Amino acid sequence: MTEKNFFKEKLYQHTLPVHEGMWHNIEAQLPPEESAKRFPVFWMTLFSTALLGGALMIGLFTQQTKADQKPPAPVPNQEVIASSTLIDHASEDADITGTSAQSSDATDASNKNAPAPSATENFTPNISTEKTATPSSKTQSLNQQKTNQQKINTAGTASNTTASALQQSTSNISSSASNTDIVTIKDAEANHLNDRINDYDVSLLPYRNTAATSLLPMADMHAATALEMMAGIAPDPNCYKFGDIGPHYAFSVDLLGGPGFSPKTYEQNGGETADYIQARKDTETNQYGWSIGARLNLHHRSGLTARLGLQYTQVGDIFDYTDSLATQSTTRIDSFFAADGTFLYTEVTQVLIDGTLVKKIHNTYRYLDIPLLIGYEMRLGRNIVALNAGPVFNLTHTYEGQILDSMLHPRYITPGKPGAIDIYKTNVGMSIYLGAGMLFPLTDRLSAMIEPSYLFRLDPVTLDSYELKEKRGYAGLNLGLRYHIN
Amino acid sequence: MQEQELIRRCNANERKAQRLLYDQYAPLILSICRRYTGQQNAEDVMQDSFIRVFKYLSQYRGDGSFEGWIRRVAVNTCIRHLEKAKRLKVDYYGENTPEYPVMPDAISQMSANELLALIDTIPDGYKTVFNLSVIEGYQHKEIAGLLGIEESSSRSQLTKARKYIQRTLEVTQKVEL
Repeated sequence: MTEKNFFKEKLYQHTLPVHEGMWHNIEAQLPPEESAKRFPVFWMTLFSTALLGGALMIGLFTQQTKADQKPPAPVPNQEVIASSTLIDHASEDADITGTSAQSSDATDASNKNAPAPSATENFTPNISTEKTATPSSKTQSLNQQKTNQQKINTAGTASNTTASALQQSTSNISSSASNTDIVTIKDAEANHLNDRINDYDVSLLPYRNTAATSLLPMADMHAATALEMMAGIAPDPNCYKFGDIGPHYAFSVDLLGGPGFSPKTYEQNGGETADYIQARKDTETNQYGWSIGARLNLHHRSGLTARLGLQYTQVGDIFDYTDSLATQSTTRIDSFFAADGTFLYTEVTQVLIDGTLVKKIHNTYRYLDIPLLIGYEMRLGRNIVALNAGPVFNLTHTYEGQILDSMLHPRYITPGKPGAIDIYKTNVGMSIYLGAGMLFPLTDRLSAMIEPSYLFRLDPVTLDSYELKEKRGYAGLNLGLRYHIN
Repeated sequence: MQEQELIRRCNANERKAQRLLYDQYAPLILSICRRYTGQQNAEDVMQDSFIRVFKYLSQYRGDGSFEGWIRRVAVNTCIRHLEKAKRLKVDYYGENTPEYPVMPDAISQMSANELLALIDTIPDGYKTVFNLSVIEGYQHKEIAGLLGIEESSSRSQLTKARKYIQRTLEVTQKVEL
């Protein structure tokens, strides 16, 4: 045994005890653990987005519910409406003349129970009762109101207080009826108004608002003003093209896809790697990518929209590498045999060929993401403008191809390939999506859409152990179709 | 945990896996650093070695043994440290000298710690080549590439290291007698 063996034998696997504190020194210089760093950002963003979206939806839903709950909406027959109107105005008459107005025959229970109702207070239930009246009943009601007001005029003893109360109730409905005198509608005008009313389906009035559906204030208004209001009648409000969403919510599905571009940046991750960054920039050129996806949209009538989808994005680079001093090694084996076929020997020759190595490899990066977006949509003529933003959560990130390693040698990034380097994350975490688009109605249920967007990937797509921080974004032009489910 | 799984988790920056890897290899790496840089600097260099191990772990191809790779990182870190500290003074143009035999009997009777102490006494220039050649098993061509010297220099440095050890051992024996 030589002396070399003794040294190696005793020292090659020799170990020394290590102080516990040394690990803490090393740990302090390592990059922070990924999961601990990302957890709060990821979950807090998800939580706040959900909270914000939920709060907006609940707030708007509550507001809408209150509006809907204002009047009870029974469907009375003509006689009930007419008698109700008569009773209410009879009580007004009584107030005017100073007599007691206990209308025991009143059919409106709310009027009965109301404590010492004023003229204004009495007015409101009347309006609500008439809200769902049919046109013919409204016409009858209008005639009745006209009679009542004529009665008021003939009484001629109206006190200022009562008159102003009546005026106030009228002005609640329309500012056009603000004159202090109670207007008497001329017969001709009244007949003309009746004809116009009969021409329209009152149920189509926008949101059946009090101003349009209550015929009482119309009686108080000048006929011209009333006609102006009628001119504003909109067609079916449930049609998405012309009106707002009928129920509180509506659903639609988007199918979209299109070309894109993925800009990338490199940052140093600790050491001095400026040369390496430059080398990667020189050997990789950006190519256009593309994406395809689908989204389910939940629309609120306020214009707010929540979107949940699935998006596939593919981006390509060209790795262009030239090594002018490359050497190719070939092994040549020559076997020699005797004349009788007996094997004699072999000669193995190593042949080295100098040359230029050129590599042009298409690298591919694929992302599968779940966008969770909040959007706002507003009308612009027949079209809709949509603004979208929100987090996008990556499900998986795959990659294949070649890049330069830190020693500037071309290496595979495809997992499983010989000598492949493991530098890319398989999940790139959360990103932020920003988009603005436009919808063009094609049919009753189909719209074409265009939506330029940008996806900010918050974290580098590379592992923390890699020498560089490689960040990628994605700018896309989405073209697609929207199907309106309801 | 399998070595491949351990490496994968270390690459994913999992602290527990990194600690496991450290616990497994720290005593060995400390001994290597001790041989190259001496007792005073061994711990600092070992820390640097592990930081480099975790940083460049993604480049481990799995071709050879992982221990061999981690040893190589540690050795490179030691050499870099010596170069920085300007302790690596190697004769760049040495002559081809025959290998000088070291007294095998004496060596065989020494413990590992005694051998470490003996290596500590060698000047840094000789010591590095001695460590690389005799203990790590590097060829002179590899040593030349690693230290930026000629092969003949590597050979002469090794010879000088052996001479130095032999003289030291002779002196020790004389003192003992």
